[in-house]
Amino acid sequence: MDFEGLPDDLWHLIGSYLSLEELIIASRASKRWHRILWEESRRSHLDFSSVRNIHRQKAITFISNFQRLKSISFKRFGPSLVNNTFLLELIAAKDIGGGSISSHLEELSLDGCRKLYYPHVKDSTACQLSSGSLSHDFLKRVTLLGLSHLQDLDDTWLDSTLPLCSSLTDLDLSGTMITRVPLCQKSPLKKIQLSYCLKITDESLQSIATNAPKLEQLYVQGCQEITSEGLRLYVSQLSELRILNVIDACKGSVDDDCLMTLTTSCPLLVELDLKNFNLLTSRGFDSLTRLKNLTTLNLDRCRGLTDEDVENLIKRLGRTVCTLNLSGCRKLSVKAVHSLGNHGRMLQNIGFAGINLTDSREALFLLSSNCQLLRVLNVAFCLGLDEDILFGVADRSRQNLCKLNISGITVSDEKLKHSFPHLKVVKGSVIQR
Amino acid sequence: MASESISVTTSDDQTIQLSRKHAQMSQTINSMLEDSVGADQEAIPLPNVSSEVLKKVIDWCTHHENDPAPVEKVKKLNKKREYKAKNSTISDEWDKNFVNAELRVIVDILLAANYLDVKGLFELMCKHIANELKGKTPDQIRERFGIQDDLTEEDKAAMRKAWGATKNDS
Repeated sequence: MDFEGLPDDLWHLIGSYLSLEELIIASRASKRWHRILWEESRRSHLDFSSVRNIHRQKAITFISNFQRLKSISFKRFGPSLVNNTFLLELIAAKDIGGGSISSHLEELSLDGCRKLYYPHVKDSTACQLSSGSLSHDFLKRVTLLGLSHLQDLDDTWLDSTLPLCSSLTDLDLSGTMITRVPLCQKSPLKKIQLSYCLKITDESLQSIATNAPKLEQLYVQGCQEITSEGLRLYVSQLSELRILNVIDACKGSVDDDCLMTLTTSCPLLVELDLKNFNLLTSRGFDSLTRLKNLTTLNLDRCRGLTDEDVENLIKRLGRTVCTLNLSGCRKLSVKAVHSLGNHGRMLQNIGFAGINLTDSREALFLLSSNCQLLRVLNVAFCLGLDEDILFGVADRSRQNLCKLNISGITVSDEKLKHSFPHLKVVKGSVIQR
Repeated sequence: MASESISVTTSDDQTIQLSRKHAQMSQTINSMLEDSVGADQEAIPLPNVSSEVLKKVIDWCTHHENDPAPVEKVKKLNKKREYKAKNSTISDEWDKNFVNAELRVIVDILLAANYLDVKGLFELMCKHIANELKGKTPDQIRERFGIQDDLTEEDKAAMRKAWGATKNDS
């Protein structure tokens, strides 16, 4: 049997391993290939993230070759292509079937396209953008909207657009200067990213809790204007929450009461990222043991954490937790390492950076021989750690580690490669020999 | 008690024995076996697969018999879907050697893997063919895959116009 005999649907599967550019070239081999790989392509998604140096008009002609396109992504396409004019032209363009390109579009990802701006409504372009070109129909259907790092995104545009997006499940507004999140009522939103939206306040949390009760993922990393009180009052209403990221948020004001309320009312959490919350004490940490599904726990620089807390946590969560970051928890000592070694059978990723590990040889060896799933270890700037202990750890972990942060220790490159054959990423002082 | 080996009849009327473990790596045979539980084990007819190709398939199954079952990857909750091309890297050294065959054979194995529904083998073959396509000009692809150039100059000009010249343009 030769290649001409392969059925079309197998070609479609092979085509899915090719990038856009490779697909275009391959489709020029013969009429049949052109038809199979291109015109009848079932591709309903276009990703321009990796395409470079394409002219604006060509991009539109290119896109218009697809009928019933469902998703376009211009992520980080940079300043060369995507601007307001382009978006308007794109949305107004017709596909080869004569229909409008935007008529089937459900997802449009514009993250990091710097030239895209949303001037005030008085400006004619913005009017078109908010009312005409991004038609109400499109907004009603759109399920994913990626607008992160759009420097000029303003509230006015969001006010006129977001309430219309009644199918939206995934919204990314990270790094923008918006002050509120005007969701529509009964929004089916599952995931919202507001990391480093520095002007976001508790009011937005309230709006999210009221309008999107089914929310599963909330990212408010670095949002300093929201408060512990806001988390306690509003985030606790999100009973479906699976992932909560409050790294560096709330000016560090999250306290035991807040954490206890959250762990009681969001029992489904699988990932919880706390960082720099010095007010937390044993009472708060103990409440984490209620989270029976927790797989990722980040307690970076929660300086109230003690050895006893770690023991309590790992004893009761050891069956689920795979990622545990205890970096910068200064009160911890060798005892904490011991309890992880005894109870943390599922651990894959451990962070110990900056902990005093004096006399920890035995504890670390126990950890590395018991935690056979361990892949990532961060022991940067740990007191009392030396080359010798490190290679002992390597021996006992069956050399499975693939990511290692050993800043502060000097090791020879050759020896490291020998001891950790799977190592892909290493941070620290390595001597090349 | 189910017997430990299964016999199948190939398109060229040969009867081949294969172990139950290998047979069950093919979803097609596996479902036939489940359907005929308790019945007398007759040779399973595989009219679309020749003995030569089946031996290749068994070779692959033997090498991969201890691979973990292909579980559907647990999707991270509502993770942002990315529509990048699938990764076509072949990491296993044995596999690299295995696909180092004539394209005619590759096509036969691909079709057999598709018919027998051996997921890992099918993916491997798709990846290999995709890799063969990568980085080649349309001319080189025609040569490699033995395809007639039935496009007129106008067709080609139209394609260039529509999608722009690419760096591998012929």
